[in-house]
This record gives sequence, C-alpha cells and structure tokens, in this order.
Amino acid sequence: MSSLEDRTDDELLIHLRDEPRVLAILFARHRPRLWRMAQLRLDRRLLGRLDPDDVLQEAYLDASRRIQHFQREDSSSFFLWLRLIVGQTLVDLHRRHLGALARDAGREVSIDHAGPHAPEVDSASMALELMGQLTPASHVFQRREMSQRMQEALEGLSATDREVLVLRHFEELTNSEVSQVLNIQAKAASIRYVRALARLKAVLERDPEFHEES
Amino acid sequence: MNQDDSRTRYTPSFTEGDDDRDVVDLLADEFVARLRRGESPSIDEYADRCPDRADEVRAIFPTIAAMEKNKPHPTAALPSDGVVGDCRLVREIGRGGMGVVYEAEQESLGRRVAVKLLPRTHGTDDRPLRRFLREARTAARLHHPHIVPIHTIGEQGGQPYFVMTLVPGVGLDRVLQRIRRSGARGTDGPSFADDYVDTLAYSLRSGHFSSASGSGPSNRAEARSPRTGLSRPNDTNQLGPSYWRAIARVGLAAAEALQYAHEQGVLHRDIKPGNVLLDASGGVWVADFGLAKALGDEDLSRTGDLVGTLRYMAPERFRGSADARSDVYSLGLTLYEALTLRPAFDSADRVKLLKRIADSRPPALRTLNPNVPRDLETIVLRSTEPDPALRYPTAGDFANDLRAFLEGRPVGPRPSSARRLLSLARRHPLVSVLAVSTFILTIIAGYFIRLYVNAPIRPPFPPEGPHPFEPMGDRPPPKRGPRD
Repeated sequence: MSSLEDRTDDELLIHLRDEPRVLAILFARHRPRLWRMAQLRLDRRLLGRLDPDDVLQEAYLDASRRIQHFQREDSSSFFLWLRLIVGQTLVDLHRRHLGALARDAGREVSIDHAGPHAPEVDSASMALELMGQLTPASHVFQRREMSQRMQEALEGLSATDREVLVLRHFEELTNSEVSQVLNIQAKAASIRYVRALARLKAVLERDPEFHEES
Repeated sequence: MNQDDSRTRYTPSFTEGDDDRDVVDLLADEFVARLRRGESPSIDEYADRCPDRADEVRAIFPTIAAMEKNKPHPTAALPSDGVVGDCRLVREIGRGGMGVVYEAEQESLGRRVAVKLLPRTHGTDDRPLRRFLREARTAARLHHPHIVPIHTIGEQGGQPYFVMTLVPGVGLDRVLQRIRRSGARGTDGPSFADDYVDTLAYSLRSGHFSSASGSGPSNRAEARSPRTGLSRPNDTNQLGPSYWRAIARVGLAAAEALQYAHEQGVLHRDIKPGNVLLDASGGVWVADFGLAKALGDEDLSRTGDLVGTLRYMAPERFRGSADARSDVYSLGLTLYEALTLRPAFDSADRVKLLKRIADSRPPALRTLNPNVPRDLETIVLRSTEPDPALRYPTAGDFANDLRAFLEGRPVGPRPSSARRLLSLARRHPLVSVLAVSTFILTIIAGYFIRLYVNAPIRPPFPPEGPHPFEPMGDRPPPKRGPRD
C-alpha cells in the first residue's frame, strides 16, 4: 500500500491540485455514497441506457476538469462538492436522454438548495431501486420480500420525510451534511429525521408481517 | 478493542451542532455506525441508555435496522441481458467487499457455476484492468482441495469478472455473526440461506457436520433439523471443546491452502472471515486468492470495504511489505475472532484502526474467554505476533501446530519475553533508546543510593556505640538497613 493511500482525506486534499491521483483516491473513498445517490435518482425511463456507473464515470471526468475551482479544504465540504457534481451530471444526462420529456414530467424540483439541482427521489424510482429492477434483466433476480414492504412504506411518506431518510440511510450523509444539503439548521435536520423515522415506523406497523419479524 | 470502545466510540465527520441534536438521533447515529460495521447491537442497550425515551427507541430502532438492511449496495452493473461470457446469471448468492457473486448457468458445459462481478474501473486508464487479468490468471492456476477453483477470468465492457466452481459454502463471518447473535432476535429478516447458516453455526459448536457431502443451501429439510432443542449460547463461555476443535480444523484447512498457494508463489493478501467458506459437510474453502492484488488498493477502497479488510491486515503491510507471514497473521486474527466472537481490532475509524494494528497486540485470548485451551491460545498468539520474525515462518508450520493441537500432541513454544523485547527494540528504536536509558539511569541511581545508604558505617564514625553527634542530612533512612 503506497503512502498516498494511507493518508486521511484532509491530508490528501492539500495535494488535490498538484497530484492527479488524489482525486481518484478520494473519489474512490466516496464512491459507495455517490453510487447510491446516482442509483436512487436515475430516472427509470433511462434504465437499460444508463446505469449508476455511467453517471459516476461522467461525474469523475467532470470533477477532474473542475478541480481547480474547488476552494474549501475540508473533507466534508469536498464530499458535498462531489455530490453536487454528481447531481449536475444527473441533470445533464436526464436532459440529454429525455429532452422535453424531462421538463414535461416536471422532475427538476429542487431539493438541493446549496447548488445545482439534483432530481428529487421519487417513489417510482425508489420503488424500482428497492425492487432491484434497474435493468431489464433483473426479473431473474429475486429480491427479498422485505424490500417490497419497505418500498411501499417509503412511498406512503411525504417527499420531505422520504428525502431525509434516504439521505441519512441510503446515501449515508451525517446530520451535518444533511443540514447543509437541505439548507436547514442541524437541529431542524435532526428533528426532521427522528420524526420521519416515527412516521415510517407507523406505516410499516400497519403491515402485520413486518411487525411480527421485527 | 474492548467492548466499551465499540459502544462509545463514534465520531461523525462533523461534530458542531451536535449539542442541538435530538438525543434519540445521536443514539441512532451510533447504532447505525455499529450496524454498518457488521455488528448486531442490541436495541435494549440503547433503550436503557435513554430511559426517558426508551419506548421511542424501542419503537424506532427496528425501523432503522430495516432501512439499513434495504440499502442499495454499489455493485457491478449487471449486463442488460444477464449474460456474462458464456454464463447466464440466475440469482444473487452473495455480496462481498469486492463484488457480487451470482449463481449462473454455464451454457456451453451445462453446469452451475458462481460468477463474481467486480466493479468497473474509472477513468480512461486501462492499466488496472490489465493488472487484474494478469494477477487473476496466476490465482486461477491454483488447484487445492481447500481453495475455491477459478475456471475463467474475463472482462466484458471494461468490467472484470471470474467464473468459479459453485461451492455450497457460507462465509465464516456470517456463521460467526449467527453464533454471536443466537438467542437474541436479530435485526435480520428471514432469508433464503438463514437455515443453512444456522446449521453451520450448530455444526461448528457441536462438531457434528452432516456426512452427506455436497448438501448445499438447497437441502433444506436436512439443514433445518439440528435447530430444534438447541440451547443457544449468548456468550463465548457457553462454547465448548467441540467448538475449539472445529475452529482449529477450519484453521488447519485454511493454513494448508495458504501453504500450497505460497509454494506456487501466490499470496492471498486478504484473508478474513468472509473469505473462509464453510459447508455443511465440514468442508472449508478459501476464496478470492490474490484478488486483493489483482484489484489494487485503490479499487479495494472504492468498494467501501477498506476497513473490513484493514482489520485483518498484518502491521508490516502498512509499511509496504508483505510475505507469507502476513497471510499467517491474517488467518491468526480470523481464528482469534472465531474463538472470542469479536474482532481482535475494532474501530470504525481508518486512522485509529491503523494505529492500533501497528502499535498493539489484541487482548490475550484467555482473558476474554478463559475456556479457550491454552495450546490453542499459544498457536493464535504466535500467528498474530506483530513482528513477522516471531510468527510461524510459514503457513505449513502454523498448520503443523494446529494439527498437533487436534491430535493432542504438544505445540511449539510461545515466543519468550526476551525475544519479544528484542523485537520491540527492533521495531521501535525510540522505545528501545528510552528503555536502555531508563535501565542505565536505574543502575546509576542504585549505585548512588548504595553509597548513601552505606555512608554511616564508614569512617569517620565509630562502628559501634552512640554517635557523638547527629550529622545533618547524612543519616540513613529509618527503614533501610545497611544490607541494602
């Protein structure tokens, strides 16, 4: 393992502009979270044409082009910066592939007040995600029944509740990062999260099967 | 490293504003961090820590666990037609740090195989892919009864994959998790392979494996029967001699596989419980030989399982060197975890974890569980020495001692304290300089104390009889006699 890989994110960021491998390493470290973001927010009409890896590939190239513009030097803001680039890439890809459709469908609702707009997580794409039906071939892959129930429960929530749960659990954002993305106070983000959990639990509880198992 | 640590240690990347946060949220954060490390934290524990809102914790935390369980995992993209090479994917059978494993039908030969799909590489550089193909080919030449055989290696649209024999095995990590949590109601929902994992957990504890070889997850009727009437242990104290022997047998098989691979010039580089597969007939299979090198460190971190892998890495790996003894070390830590039911080094934080592995040895096995046989403890201790020079020089030596333990013969000696001290001095020059200076200072100090203590019996004072006067400040301390 070379010395570069052992460094912390903050140590690496110092060399972001002069060492090309730094971006690759940092991108690699954040990849699981960025991947989930791309997968959850990719329009289902693009399935078969694009997958989250394509989105990340484009976002990576875009990040390397824009690297000189990254100003702040702490790792959390760097992750949020990468996240914005992935969001921007998603918007661009949706425009390119869906054209007028995307605008008609009114998908460009901002959830990302801090910068370029990322498509909102909608129940349909979330549902598909949880069903693992992102590719036409996936009908051969069995998903656990639990996912279906979870997907239905999430669909039963308001967009606000769903968003905060997805950010915290699927995209693995910290409360502080959620507050920055949603542009609200840390305290408000925390309260919103706990309330959303309580409402999700209430929806899940109506399902007797879930109740028995948990 | 100790249990308290894993409960209280959680540092989110941001701490400002935490004071304002809902206390249930803060507990949830820690709970989630532990779930993500593969632990099975008890919800009651969190309810107890927050008595005012215990009901809320009990109500909400199962939902949190369910959310985490349903989280999408970054996987290799599936080919749109579900075909990789000449294999048609049938169903997902496992997810590791480095890829997703599918059961597949190899159409040309009409047989069932396992296909592992690895994440696609980023950027325009094709060197990682070429490295993968080169390294994986070396690993594919290994043929050993305890190594999962690789049939084909390939690349489809920039995405590496390989085709292996479909082994009816489950990772030791999952079996250990099951043993650890047995009794408690898990956060896991029902799943297809649960009964099979139960069977393996039972088999390890009782030492009884089904004689029918090749009984896989599909053989459910047989798999389920041992569960009934089984007392489920909640802690390691309820594990007995048959369990120690079963773990020693697993270690022996894996060590033999390592020795064979090392003779062929292949290091595994990523031995951990998840890469040691068990089947219901007592078979042991080591998976993913050389894959860590084939993928490279960068790709390893990309899959998000770097910490899971770091935890079992030998300290010298962080200084850039690796040899057969590094694999011995990782297998030693794997056995350690199997015997104590907890990772030897435990930290969710990369940097802290690295420091721990480099600076310390895990707590002595028998302090965690006094029932572990002393000889087995000696073997694990020797294989996990921080200094490679003190470890078994080869996996074969490791295997020999495990065999000796199983046959009731004496095992090799523990490294002496003197050798350990020398090794410490070699690894930490500063520490040794300090130790030597302290030693010298102690001798000098001793010499002066002696002078001081002996002073009264020397002239000018008469040897016997009362002193004519008390010399100021030259009197021996009251409790010290001249014999000092």
